[in-house]
Amino acid sequence: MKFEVGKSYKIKSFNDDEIAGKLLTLGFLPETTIFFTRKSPFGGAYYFDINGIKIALRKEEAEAIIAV
Amino acid sequence: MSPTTKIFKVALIGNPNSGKTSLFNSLTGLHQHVANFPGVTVDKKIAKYQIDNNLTIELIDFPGTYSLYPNSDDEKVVAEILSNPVNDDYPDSIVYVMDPFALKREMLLLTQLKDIGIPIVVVLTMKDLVEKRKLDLNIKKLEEIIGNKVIFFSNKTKANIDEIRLALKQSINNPKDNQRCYMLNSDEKSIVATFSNRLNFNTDYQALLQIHHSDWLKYQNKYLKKEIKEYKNNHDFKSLSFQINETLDRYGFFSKEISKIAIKDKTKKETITDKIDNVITHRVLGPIIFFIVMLLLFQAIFSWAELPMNLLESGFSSLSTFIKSNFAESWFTGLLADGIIPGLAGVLVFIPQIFLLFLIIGLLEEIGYMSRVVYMFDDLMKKFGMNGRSIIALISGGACAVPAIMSTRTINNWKERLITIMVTPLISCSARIPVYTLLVVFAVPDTHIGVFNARGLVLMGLYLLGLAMTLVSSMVMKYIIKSKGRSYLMITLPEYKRPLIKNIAIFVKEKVGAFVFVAGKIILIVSIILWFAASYGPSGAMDTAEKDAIEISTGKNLSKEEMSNLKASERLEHSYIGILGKAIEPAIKPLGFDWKIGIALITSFAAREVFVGTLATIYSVGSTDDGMKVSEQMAKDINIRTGEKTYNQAVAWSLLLFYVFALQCMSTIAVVRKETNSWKWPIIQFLYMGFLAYFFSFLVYNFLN
Repeated sequence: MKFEVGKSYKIKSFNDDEIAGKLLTLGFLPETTIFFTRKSPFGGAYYFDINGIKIALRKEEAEAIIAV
Repeated sequence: MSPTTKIFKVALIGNPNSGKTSLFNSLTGLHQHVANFPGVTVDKKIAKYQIDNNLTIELIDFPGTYSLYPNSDDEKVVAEILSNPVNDDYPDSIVYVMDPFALKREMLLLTQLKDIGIPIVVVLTMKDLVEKRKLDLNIKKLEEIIGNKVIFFSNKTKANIDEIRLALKQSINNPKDNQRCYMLNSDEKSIVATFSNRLNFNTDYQALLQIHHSDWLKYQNKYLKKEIKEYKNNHDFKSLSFQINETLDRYGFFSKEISKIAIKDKTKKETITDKIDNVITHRVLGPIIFFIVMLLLFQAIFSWAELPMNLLESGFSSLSTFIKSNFAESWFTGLLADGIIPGLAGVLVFIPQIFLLFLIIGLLEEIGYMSRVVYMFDDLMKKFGMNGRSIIALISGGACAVPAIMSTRTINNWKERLITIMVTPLISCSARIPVYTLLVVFAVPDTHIGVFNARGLVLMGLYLLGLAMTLVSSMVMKYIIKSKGRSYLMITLPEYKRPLIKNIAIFVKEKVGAFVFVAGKIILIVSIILWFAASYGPSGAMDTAEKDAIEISTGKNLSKEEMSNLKASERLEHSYIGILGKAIEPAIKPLGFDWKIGIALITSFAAREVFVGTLATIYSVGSTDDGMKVSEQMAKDINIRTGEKTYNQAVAWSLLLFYVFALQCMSTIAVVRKETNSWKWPIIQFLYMGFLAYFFSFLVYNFLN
């Protein structure tokens, strides 16, 4: 799904098993709150904050997350 | 100690950025050495570590990983070894390194390690940081929850290092098994049961890993792989979704209790890292800052390295002169003074630049900047078939392609890594500078365009041309090379921290060492071979050449020095290499090159800057370090056939473009062969870059002529 910069989201599930497996190991767990801090200069990578841990994802990787 | 004493192996395992390598450095210092894990180009750092007088262990720094379900080649190493009890590197004990700020996430790998069944000592790092921020962390409680000994450690103060020692000793002398965490589901149980007599394992979880990873594990034979695959298909064994369920299950195992003790930043205030990143990774400011950092980096490697490079060069050339003038003339003094010493000089002269390059890259890496660069430019590099991590290789390529290509190991997608390896040598390295500066004198008149010197502008243009071709080639390869698996960015951006000098020192030592051993060996060997080829020729030919030279000299009344220079030049023309130069002349004539340039092209395979030295010998200048003299002689050289000057503008431009594109470097070929583990890629690389060089040289020569 699409994300907006500067907003918090609560992860519900994922729409891609392969990406999900990898995101889970990084701490992107269901019911976890993530904050979308900013986009990269060219817009293709996203900077997230999960309880103080900073992780960058590609746009496609982030879009595999279903959150509210 | 009896000779049969078993050497206990201890593996250092942890998430990336958990402080694992810092801990390894704290424990072992400079006594570590780097090898490869068998069959892969993944660095394996090992060190002997003395626990006490009776017990010395081998400490192995495993690649950082989040889980035993790996994303990259180096993470695969961890799963490959830990799932296989008969592997040579299978550890007797594990030190699990945890970052106290990421406890929850780190529980995943901890529970996996517990299920592997190797005794674990947990080391929690960054004690100083936690105390400095007056944060609360109950170690006793943590030990209770996870059921392992936990040592709180600081790489800065090294407090509690003895406790680590003691805990390790205990885990080896009285190994204590871990409680198991994950219960296999019924499908997993039955597949493990089916293959249990065919697999070699200590715990059920190891067997399960062998089944999940069956398609890529190196130690499993193909018949078993086939059977496991068939079983998975026939029984609808959903490997991927089982892995996801298992991961979720493992997170659940300790999560409630861990949540209670995990460090919470109650303040919710922006941390220092947040504040820095607001500027450093800003969408507009970020790239500007990166550009400035790069300017400083290149300023450092080109201007600060100049003095030590000149000193090394003149030191070696005086050593050669000293040997030649103080020892009797023999083949051995010749080999030493004209083969080995210049060869060594050719290696060592690059060290100041490579040292500075990795000092700065190491510093940027250590404070946490490099992963921001990867984040900022990943999408841009992806358009060229590469990855954010490729940037580090391309930057390093500005000094030397050899360490640059070795640094691509951190790129986890094979296609992206391969493209980076294939295009990096197109970035103008420092060995091309002497060639450029010599030739640009003939190519461009000494005038000014506005405030800029025309030659300076052309030099910059050559660099940009190399860079442009790097991007064009990578774009083309993106469509040609087939992809193996998906590629990911997914990178943790660690908190900014003050650098530990020791870590940088070890990083620099490792990189410079790798350069000296890989490139050094090749440059030295090639130099020696070339010396033989340049000093010997078909029987009689050399002697006749020398006699001719003496005759001419006496006839023309030349000075002693002029005579010996002429002798050297005549000998070179009739040596094996001279013959080879003449043999390739027809092939390079369309580019405007004669056999003399042909010789220099061949010898510069040792390292490009040898081109200048070879021309010095051919034009019998004698002293090789005097660039002005070389260009004066070159300017006088007349083409016998046309009666025109050999180095007219067209030839100089043609040569310049040839050196921008051609893969004139044995060391690069060797390192590409090593990193890709095949001859296929270095050959393709040599051919495509050679084609580019030939094509553009031909074009410019015929255009200007």
